[in-house]
Amino acid sequence: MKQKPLNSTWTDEQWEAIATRNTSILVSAGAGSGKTAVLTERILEILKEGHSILDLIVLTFTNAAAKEMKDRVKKKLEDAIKEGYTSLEPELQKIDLANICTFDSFSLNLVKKYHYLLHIEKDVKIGDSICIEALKKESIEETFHEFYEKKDKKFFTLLDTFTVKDDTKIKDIVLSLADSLTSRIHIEKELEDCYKKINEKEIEKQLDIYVDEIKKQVQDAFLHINVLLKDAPAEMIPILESLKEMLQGNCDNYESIASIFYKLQFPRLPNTKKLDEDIQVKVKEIHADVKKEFQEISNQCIYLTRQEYIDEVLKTKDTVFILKELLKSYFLKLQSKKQKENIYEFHDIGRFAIQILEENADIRKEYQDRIYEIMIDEYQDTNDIGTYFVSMIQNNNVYTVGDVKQSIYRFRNANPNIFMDKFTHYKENDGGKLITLSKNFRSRKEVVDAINFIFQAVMDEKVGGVHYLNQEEMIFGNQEYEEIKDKDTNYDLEVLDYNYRDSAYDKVYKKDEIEAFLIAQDIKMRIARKEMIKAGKTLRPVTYSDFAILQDRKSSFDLYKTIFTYLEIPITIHKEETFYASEVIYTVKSIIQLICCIVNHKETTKEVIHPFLTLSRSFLGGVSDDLIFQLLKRSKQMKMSIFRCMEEDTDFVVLYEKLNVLAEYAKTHTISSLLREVYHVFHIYDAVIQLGDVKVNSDKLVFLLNLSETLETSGYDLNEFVRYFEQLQDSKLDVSFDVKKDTDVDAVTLMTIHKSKGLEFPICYFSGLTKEFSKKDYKERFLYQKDMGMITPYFAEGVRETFYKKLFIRTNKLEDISERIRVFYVALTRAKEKMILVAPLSDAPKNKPFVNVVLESIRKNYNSLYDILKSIKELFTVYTTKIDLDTIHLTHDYEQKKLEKLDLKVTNMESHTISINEKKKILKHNTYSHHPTKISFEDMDKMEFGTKMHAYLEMIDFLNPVESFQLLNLSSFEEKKIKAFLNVEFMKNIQDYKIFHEYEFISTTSSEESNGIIDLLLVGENDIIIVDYKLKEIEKPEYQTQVRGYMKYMHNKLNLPVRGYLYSIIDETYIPVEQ
Amino acid sequence: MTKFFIATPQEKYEILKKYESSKELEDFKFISLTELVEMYYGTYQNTYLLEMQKLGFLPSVANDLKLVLWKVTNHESKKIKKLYELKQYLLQHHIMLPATYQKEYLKKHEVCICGEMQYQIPKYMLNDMEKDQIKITYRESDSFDTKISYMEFSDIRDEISTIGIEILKAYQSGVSLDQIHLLNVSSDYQGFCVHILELLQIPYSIQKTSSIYSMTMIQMFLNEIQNINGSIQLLEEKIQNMIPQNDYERDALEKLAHIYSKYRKSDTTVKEFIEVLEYELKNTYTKSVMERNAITVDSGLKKYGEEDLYFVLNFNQETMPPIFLDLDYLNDAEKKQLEITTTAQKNESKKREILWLLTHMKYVTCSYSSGSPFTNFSKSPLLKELKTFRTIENVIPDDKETNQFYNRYLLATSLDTYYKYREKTKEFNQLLGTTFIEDYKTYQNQYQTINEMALKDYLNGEMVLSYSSMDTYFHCPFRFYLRHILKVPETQSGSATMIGTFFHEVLSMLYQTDSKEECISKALEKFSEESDVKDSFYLQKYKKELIEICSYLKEELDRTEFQPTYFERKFELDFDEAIHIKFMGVIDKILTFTDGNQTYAIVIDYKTGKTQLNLNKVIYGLDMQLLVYLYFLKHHPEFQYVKVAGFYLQHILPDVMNYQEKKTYALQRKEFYKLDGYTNDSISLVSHIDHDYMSGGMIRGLRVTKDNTFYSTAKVIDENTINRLLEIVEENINDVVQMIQKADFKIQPIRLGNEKTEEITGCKYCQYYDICFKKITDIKTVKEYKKLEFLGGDEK
Repeated sequence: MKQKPLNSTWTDEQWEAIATRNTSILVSAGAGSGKTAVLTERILEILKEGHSILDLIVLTFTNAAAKEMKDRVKKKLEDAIKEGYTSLEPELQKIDLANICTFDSFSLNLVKKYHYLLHIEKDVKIGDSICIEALKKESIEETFHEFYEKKDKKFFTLLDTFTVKDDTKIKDIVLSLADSLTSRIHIEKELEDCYKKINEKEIEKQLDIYVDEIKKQVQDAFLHINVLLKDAPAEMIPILESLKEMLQGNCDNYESIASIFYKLQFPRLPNTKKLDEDIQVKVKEIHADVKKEFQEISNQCIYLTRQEYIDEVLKTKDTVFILKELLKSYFLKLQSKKQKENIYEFHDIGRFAIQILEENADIRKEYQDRIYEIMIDEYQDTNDIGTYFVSMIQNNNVYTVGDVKQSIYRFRNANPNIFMDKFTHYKENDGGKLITLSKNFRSRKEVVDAINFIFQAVMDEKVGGVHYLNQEEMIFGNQEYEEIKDKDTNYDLEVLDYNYRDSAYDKVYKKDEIEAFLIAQDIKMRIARKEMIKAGKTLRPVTYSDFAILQDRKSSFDLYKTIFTYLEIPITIHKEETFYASEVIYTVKSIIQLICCIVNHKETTKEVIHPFLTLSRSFLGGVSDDLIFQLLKRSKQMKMSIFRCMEEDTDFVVLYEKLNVLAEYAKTHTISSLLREVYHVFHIYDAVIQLGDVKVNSDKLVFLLNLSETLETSGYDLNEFVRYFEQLQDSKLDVSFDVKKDTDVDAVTLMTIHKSKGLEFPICYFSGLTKEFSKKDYKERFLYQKDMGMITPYFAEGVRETFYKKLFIRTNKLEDISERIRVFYVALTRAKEKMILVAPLSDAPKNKPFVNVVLESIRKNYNSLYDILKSIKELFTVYTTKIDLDTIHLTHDYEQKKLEKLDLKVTNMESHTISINEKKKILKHNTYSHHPTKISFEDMDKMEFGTKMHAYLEMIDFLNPVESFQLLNLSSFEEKKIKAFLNVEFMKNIQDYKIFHEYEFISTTSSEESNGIIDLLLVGENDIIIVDYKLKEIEKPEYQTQVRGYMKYMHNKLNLPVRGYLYSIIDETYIPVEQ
Repeated sequence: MTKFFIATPQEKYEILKKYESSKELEDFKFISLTELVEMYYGTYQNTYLLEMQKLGFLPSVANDLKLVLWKVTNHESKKIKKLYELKQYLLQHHIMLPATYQKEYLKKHEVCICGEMQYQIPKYMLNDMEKDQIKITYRESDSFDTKISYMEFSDIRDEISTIGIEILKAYQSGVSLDQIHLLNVSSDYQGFCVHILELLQIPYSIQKTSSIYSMTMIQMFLNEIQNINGSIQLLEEKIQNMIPQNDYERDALEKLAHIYSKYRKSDTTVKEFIEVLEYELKNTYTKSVMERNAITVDSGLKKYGEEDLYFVLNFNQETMPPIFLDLDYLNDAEKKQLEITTTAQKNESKKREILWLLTHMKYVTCSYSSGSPFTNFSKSPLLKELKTFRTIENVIPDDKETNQFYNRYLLATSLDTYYKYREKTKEFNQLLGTTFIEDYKTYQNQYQTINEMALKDYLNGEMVLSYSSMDTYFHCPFRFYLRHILKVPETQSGSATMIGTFFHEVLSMLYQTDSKEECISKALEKFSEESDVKDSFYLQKYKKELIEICSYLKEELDRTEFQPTYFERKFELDFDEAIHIKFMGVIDKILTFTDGNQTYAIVIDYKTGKTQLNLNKVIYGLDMQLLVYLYFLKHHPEFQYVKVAGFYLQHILPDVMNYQEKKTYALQRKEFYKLDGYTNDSISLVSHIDHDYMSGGMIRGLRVTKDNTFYSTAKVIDENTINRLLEIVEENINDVVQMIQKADFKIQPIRLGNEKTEEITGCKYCQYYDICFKKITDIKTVKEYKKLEFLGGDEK
């Protein structure tokens, strides 16, 4: 390892992460530990050592991260060059070609490069979700059709067992299983495995896992009883003793556990009436506690013997088989449809990339030999496909960096276990080296300390995924903070605690309202107090933009914005808009539908009435219901189509004409051009002012236009565009897009925790903590899980579920809660100078005592971030500020429409207006040539012959033809034709003429500009000869006109007499053309 | 000696224009780069792509190899070696045709490369030509003292609107629109450009080539030939029979025919040909339309007229210059071996070309913005190499200069912010009062009433109402108007309707015949006439279900003294108003029992779906079905004096049921079939309805205590309550009848209690949401009642 330079500011661990070579490395880097800085420095060092940037692969998980990384490396290189490392100059040039990108785009490029090995076209595209949805729908329909046609017995049994009315349910099940399989690497193999796994041995394995947890719970219960026995009231002792005896020695084998817990009857509460009240309470509490614990165990003991568990899973075998078959067929169909349109999903691309590498050892080797290092940032977000992919091109040269505590993308298939596996192995120097960066440079000591004590208490391997205590704690590292500190500012964690339940406010205000007011007031106060934060080497007072409010969900963002604006605090929010469900898109859709009806002559009321009503009632139609009704009445009574009625109706004729013009336009234009024309004809961008929400509506229109461009390149025509809209409607999918926040304004930031990842703010508020985690729906009966395979129910006097399902829920619930704890970790680590938690902690009871870590049973049941706080309430005692809600000036005024009445009249038209009155016109370009009217392949052959002859005539030296004949290797027929031409009368005395072949010119008259090419132009001293070669039919008048045009032009130009000829190559004849 | 010019169309035009006025004749000819390649290196057989396909090459790869192959020599690299073998094969089979005489011909003349073409022509080709002693000259266009302005914005719309204003000013000062060009408008810019240009009302013409592949005519053709088995010659007639509808289609048809004609004599099948055909179609473009009096919007960087005005937007890192990656069939290492252009060289040429273009335009304004609503951009590195005479950072559009239409947009967005958050933006203060905006948010979606007489006329003076159409009215009057007056079609799931009809049909016959098998088979026949495998599978399943329910119904009959008297009994009430209304209904089953002088009736409606009975909504006119039936009875002479013993829904098609401990599946089913509804509160009557009522017999939840009183949870109802409910029903019916007379069909979906806005009862399953444009304020929120509180006091 290279020595750390003497003046270096890197810590030893950081330097180790920069300079260690020749091994794979995992850098486990806590929040704010400078991991990205270390990564870029490492890149620079490697380049300084003489490696090329093109020999590195740097992978990230978002495009934004990739862009930022590229910019950072670029900046580093520029600085280094300035410092004198001129040898890096070429690397800077190459930076745009460097593989600094996301996993997705790296695999996409690999697939584009080697597309031919998969026999797919190079311009692979990532499909729009609606288009993909449509393909999925078609595929599932075709799959079912196939199985019906096959009269597959197992298929019919499946339908018979699990459906009654129709097969929709099973279709949905197949689709949903297919979705869970998309994150897998070898889908087909896994499907086969699903079936193979249904055997006693495999089931035993899962059962062991299932039973182990029960055993552990029994042991815990046993220990718990022992603890309780120490100081339980006397009335409880006999019960506890009997329970203890029951458990004694019965904890290590399922059958003995089951003999106790199967349909357990828990001892009744002893009679406590005669006891003191506090003892009564205590007895009840202990009884309830233990009962709950026992009940939980009992609930899991479904059978008395292990064999019964195994037998029930075996009963699902046929179901698994047929589902596997359906899925296989479905995937095959879907894949071929995707291939036809050349649109894929990112996971397909990932698998393609893997397929290329698996099947081509040379490509794999090329990467292994050529790539100096593969670097992966945010490694906690990696997934199975990505990991497998990297494993194939690596060569003990993978540098990964991340913080498993910040893994919050499980819903996008991120798998934090990959990180942890590596962590465990590398810790023992098995396969690579582990480097831990635990110093935090982002935050003040107060912030670091608070984060440590919170997560020590709630995060361990079981719940949270990592053992925080002693292993993942952050160490305060930025000593500057200690020096630059304002003595009047309190940097400690603060908990703004208010009492909500049963207060005077809980019926009148929502918690969100209270918290918004509370935070607003707090911010104002801090600014007024001139609280100080670090700015470089000094301190400065806080301003609005130093504050961020982070929330788990965005449901109350608008409320905050309204309240803050009411309280005159600038705030910017970051949220997404959905695209489809809106007046403006419905209206455009109706126009497209109507145009489609006109173009396809579908004019019955049944087809037209719906879009007609939409359009006429919309902001673009603006027709009253009465007029619409009158028209429909006429249409019905006169038995006339709606369009005809529109045409004859003064109130509709303008609308109709617009549609008609557009329909004409549609016949000769692509969908995106048509859409633009629709916007134009209806002045839609101006018309949306009538709707309000103008920016969002305009963005939607832009979005739709972009979409139409994309669809068009996949071959969508008008009909398919209409179908696309229908699909959008059916699938209830919507496309959402980010609306960016304003930058560079002094305003408080409000964003979701997920959005805040990677960012930092001086002062952070955490509110909305009481919102419950969105409940995962575990109702789904048919599931896929990579270890257990397919989890399905079976039928025996009703539909029953196997223990697999219970196991599935157990693991998933735990993982979900772990992830929520990590989300909270991400949130808190955003703060640089101060953290402020806002919650009604006063409402919460005293938390149960704990040593080091909160009881697992409590953590496993966390249902909100607030639950986390509640469970460690005692830790906050010294940090709590009780807020008296009477002092925060709560009011509903903000929501009353007390807006001043705006006068929208124009009072003063100062600005000058420039406008263009010219209308675009379509120009038909004039040429002297013309088109044949009917397709004739014979003519085409002739034309080809003609072209060839033209070329020969151009290349032949007229004055010395014989030599040319040999060179050109002419057929005798061709030679004969050319000789014939050279022998015609007007070609005889051309020795003194200047010869021009294919003479091209432009001629402009007052009205038009024409372009012409003269086949043969002979210019003599006294005259000019113009020849136009034709194959046949030289008498055609249009040919004559053409040559006459040439003649006129030449005459004007050179002022010499012109002779013009039309020559027929086939007939070997010519006719002169009169001027 | 002829001079072969290699030039862009614009340069060609300029050269021709120059010669137009000259009295001299120059011997020159314009050829394309492809033509030059063909003259110098050679050409390929028409069927090249197809031959290559047979050798396992995708059409796109084959096409890319066209130029490369000329340079392929024998090398150690495996891939190149294979290509070399391929080349030998192609030469031997005369698929690859090297230039011979053309090359010689070229040697006698001169090749002149004009302007930017010097960056497009492969360097290695020039070297080869020089080695062959072909005379190559360069023709530089006049270079100007180009003045490049450069502006930076924070938002894409600011950028485009500022440029838009510049355009308007230029127009005002006399520059023709045709001489103004927006360049480098990539796909993520185009939409925004369209937005702003439309607002500013600047006519524009988008320079775009679109492939004929996406044309309906071509897509139809491709679909049609997809399944043709046989030789390619089968297509000839198909193409000849195609009838183009307009010039545009004729052009495409000719192009299709042309593609086909290249292959038509080859010995291949349609199936094999399709891949090549699709590739060719994708790479064949529609006739471009020339538009005048419009500024051009071009995705690339292209020189038009010399005196023209150029605005290069989107001057960012990704587009200026665009970056090619090493993704070709041959990688850079292999390219080096063959001495052909590497990626780096290609990128360098592209950069030079761009710089050349920018310095050969007289008037250029480059602009950049750091973000659009959808994404962020970074500045172009080219800036460092450009000399700009004027650079303005952080440009903020000056509203005084802008156009009224654009100001309307700005003001409207400010008004949105104001109304949403009470925030007054800068634009708000500046533009309010000076910009016409009176139409802001004036659009109203409300239903404005229609003429009553017209409605009468439309309906020919009469209308049939059913219980369910009335139900629709109470969900939302406008929904009723669309569905039952205008009859706007809705898509319905076919199977649901079929099941309903099928089951009802069988059950109506059940009591009239002895053999349930027979009546099921009869019905089955009717339905299975046109069924496929799937339908017949489910019909068999329904049959099994029907057998189950039928036996249950028979059993049920054994336990009651009530006799099934009517099936599918039709009722009708007339309302003689201006619009005559016939209120009609069909009751699935009426059971009767006579005790002395008094006759009692039970009304039953079969349900194949999941509908639950909830009388609490009756106050709002919802879920009135069974009560409406009772109302019919009450108003029918035959039933006038009959007393109600009970009214029930009977669910006849259970979904797959979960296992319940200690219950067989058969038992679960039986419980499922139980009557679900209200029973007369007279215990003595109950014993006539169900002999076994003590043991919780055939009516769901009707539990009786040991001392013969009903449990509090039992759904029993007294006559008084029934009558009061019927009064409400009557009122509701009359209301609807009157509202129809008044043509009152307001958009007013009902919301019960705290339902989420997107899940309100009134709009559930409604397919007309894109006609009503419902707003939150249209929703009618009503209290959700429990236990018939609206009658005052608890239900007994």
